[in-house]
Amino acid sequence: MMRKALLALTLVGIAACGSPAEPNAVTLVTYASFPVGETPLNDAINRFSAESGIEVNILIAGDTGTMLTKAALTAGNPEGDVMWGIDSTMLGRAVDSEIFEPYRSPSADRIRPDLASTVPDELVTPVDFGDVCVNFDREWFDAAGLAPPATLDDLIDPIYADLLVVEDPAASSPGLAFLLSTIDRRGDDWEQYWQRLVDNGVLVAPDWDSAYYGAFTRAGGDRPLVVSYGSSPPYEVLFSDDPDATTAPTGVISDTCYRQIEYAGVLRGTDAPEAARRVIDFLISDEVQQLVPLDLYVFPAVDVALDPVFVRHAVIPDNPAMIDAATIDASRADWIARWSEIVG
Amino acid sequence: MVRDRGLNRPPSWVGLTAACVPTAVIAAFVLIPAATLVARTIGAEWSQGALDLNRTAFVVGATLTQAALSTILTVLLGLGPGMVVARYHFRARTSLVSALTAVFVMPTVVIAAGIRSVLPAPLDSGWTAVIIAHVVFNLAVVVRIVGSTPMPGPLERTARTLGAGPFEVLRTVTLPLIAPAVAAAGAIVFALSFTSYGVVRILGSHAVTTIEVEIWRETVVLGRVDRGTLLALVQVVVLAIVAAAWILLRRRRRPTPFVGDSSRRAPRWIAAVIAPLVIVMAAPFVTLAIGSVRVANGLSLSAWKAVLMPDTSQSLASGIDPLRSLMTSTRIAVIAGAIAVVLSLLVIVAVATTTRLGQIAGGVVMVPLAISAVTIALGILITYDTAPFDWRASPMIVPLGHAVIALPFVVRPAIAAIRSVNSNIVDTALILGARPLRARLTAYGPAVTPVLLTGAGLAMAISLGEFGATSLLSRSGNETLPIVIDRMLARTGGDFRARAHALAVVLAGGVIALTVVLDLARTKRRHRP
Repeated sequence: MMRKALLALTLVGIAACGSPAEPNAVTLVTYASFPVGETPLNDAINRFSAESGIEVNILIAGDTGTMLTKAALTAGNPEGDVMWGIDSTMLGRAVDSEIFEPYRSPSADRIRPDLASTVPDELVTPVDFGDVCVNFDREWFDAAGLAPPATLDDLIDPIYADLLVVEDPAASSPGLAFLLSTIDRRGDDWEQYWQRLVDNGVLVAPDWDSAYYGAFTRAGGDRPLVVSYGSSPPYEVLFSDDPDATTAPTGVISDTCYRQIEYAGVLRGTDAPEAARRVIDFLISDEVQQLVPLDLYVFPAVDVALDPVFVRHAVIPDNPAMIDAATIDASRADWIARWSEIVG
Repeated sequence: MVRDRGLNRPPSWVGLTAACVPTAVIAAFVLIPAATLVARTIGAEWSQGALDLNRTAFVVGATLTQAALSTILTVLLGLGPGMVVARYHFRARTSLVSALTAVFVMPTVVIAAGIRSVLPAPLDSGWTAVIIAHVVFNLAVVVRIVGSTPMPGPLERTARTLGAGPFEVLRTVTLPLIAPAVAAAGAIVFALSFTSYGVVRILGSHAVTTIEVEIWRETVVLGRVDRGTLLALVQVVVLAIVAAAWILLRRRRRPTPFVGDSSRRAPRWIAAVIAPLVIVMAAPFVTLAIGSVRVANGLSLSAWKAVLMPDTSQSLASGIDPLRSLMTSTRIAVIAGAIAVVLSLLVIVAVATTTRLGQIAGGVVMVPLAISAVTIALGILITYDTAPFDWRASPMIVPLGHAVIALPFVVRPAIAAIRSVNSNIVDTALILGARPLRARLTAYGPAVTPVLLTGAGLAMAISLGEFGATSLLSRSGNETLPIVIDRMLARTGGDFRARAHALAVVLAGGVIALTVVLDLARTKRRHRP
């Protein structure tokens, strides 16, 4: 009796799950902050599905690190077909784990050359970028009669003592980006630089939220300098009572910026490779790219017209710091361990 | 007392089935996935996965020390209020216990942030903050478990009549008799503090860490899955040693059955016991409430407006729909609660009808407490990856995960309730002619039903607030409330942070309402003659 029931259950299971996958359904695996509600970006994806006949399902895999770890464990038999959101600090790990199969979109020429040049072996396609930079509170510096710092060196100047809050690079993505920025700009001196930051009273917060919304003076804290994003000021304006303001309440110190690029790629082992490639083409189309600033808080990888608020308030530095993926991959654990010793 | 095993035991298939189903579920969704991950990542490249011994020893030592301190402090602080709750009925009793439970099940991201902003500067991070957070979080465990234990009133009165002072009565009568409940609560608090993850990620650092957080750091941040898995093994081994020592220590003391007292009207002085508890517990909620009205330029109700009356026509759609996530959370909580109660009931039947098998099943459901969530989530991913068992993104994975997490909290108090029943009642029923199953139903039913009802509420509440496992499991579409709160906390500009706090207040309200309703239902049953 039991056995019969089990057999029946198994058969039902096979019938339900074993049917061949429809070649025209693509699962887009992505990180937790990708919108799944009714945003313009999701509307665009639905329009694409209707027009192309390719049904796009979004699968949230966790934060970027979790998503990559999962993809590495399932390389060759992936959870989905296309992945959005591996960033440049994790690209080395992604390449080593062989999670992607090569694809170069016919419209790849439209991608900003500085982003396109970071792609190894046509494995991924840049889809957006952003910078991690030290932000400052304009009002606080005006009131203090002090000029905001302009360079990385200024941050270790005693006149800016006890003003900066950063995030823990062992746990936070902007925290790691800022550490990488100092390593790229200071070379072998970076450990000494951090020692001097510590001497100058740098505060380490566990994550971006507690730095920006806890320690930063704009949120009632006592630190007018915070490691955040180059795109933070436009959002401060956009979501304020005065979206037409000419000056944002916060500013960006471009000399501190580190560039993060996000990539999309076709997952190796997909059962819908052709449809997956068409989804990649769609992800770098103007239709999607012009939506990423508002829906994902990053900048487009191709040249599309930006909302005026970004043109006015965002800082996109000309020479952001960047370290190639392979170097990061080889040294990240040592850098973080060393950093932890210095900061204690 | 010698029982005729052959005749007075229920048929053996009852206990067998009851023990097997929960064991199979835990095996399928915890043990097998974890074992698969171990087999896949360790072995072939053993040398690569070598752990830094000094660092590992430090992490294990730190984890044990903070867990022991957290447990001692939580039991010390929770024992008094727990006994007051068990002994007296007063107007705010149900709401007090429910509010405590709400703290216990709130997403760690939210409460830990609240605790940090309450503490003064040097204490707001590091070990002190971590231990304070553990105490605040886990007080509910002690108060609930001790609070639902009958107090040995008749014996205490006898002792007092014989001339014992109040402290002597406490030391020689009350504490020894309620020791099983206190021990059960302490064990759960220890396991929770030992495997603490969210609190330590937020309030800790490289030097202030637990094994669980190190597993996450190695696996997810650094991508060294093999080292992370090794650490997960270390965690299981250390917890197994602690558990073995615990069982050996407890074996010498068999629980003494006693006649319990029903609750009495409260005297004035209990306010002094309850007040500090209320303050400790209310602090994070007050912080949340303040946070929900604080925006960049002062105080405003805009966040509440945005959460309760979302304007979908606005051009700046956030892609976050709080009301839909509330529905999703509720649906998942109901499914998870149902699974947890059915499985618990089976474990209890096994415990009540067999000795050995019941003990095994009772132990197996505790196992998820010991195995790291990262390990389980990744294990499920690589174990069930081919049809017909491709469950990687199944919509049932999240509720099932919640049920498994909640199981120990439902099962343990129920087992304690069974143990506190005088086994003479079973024998009496048997002698009076009841069939073996019927005899046990009559004896254990009244003790177990209220505990299971509370357990159902607790399981649903745990599901409503669960963040860690949910954030690790792959999921499509609908998001739970804690996930939405976390996403809102990570946004720049506007009143997103205030909205996150407003949503956390909504979540707390929902959890309190849920536990109040179930506790009321339970107390009604208890007061029936």
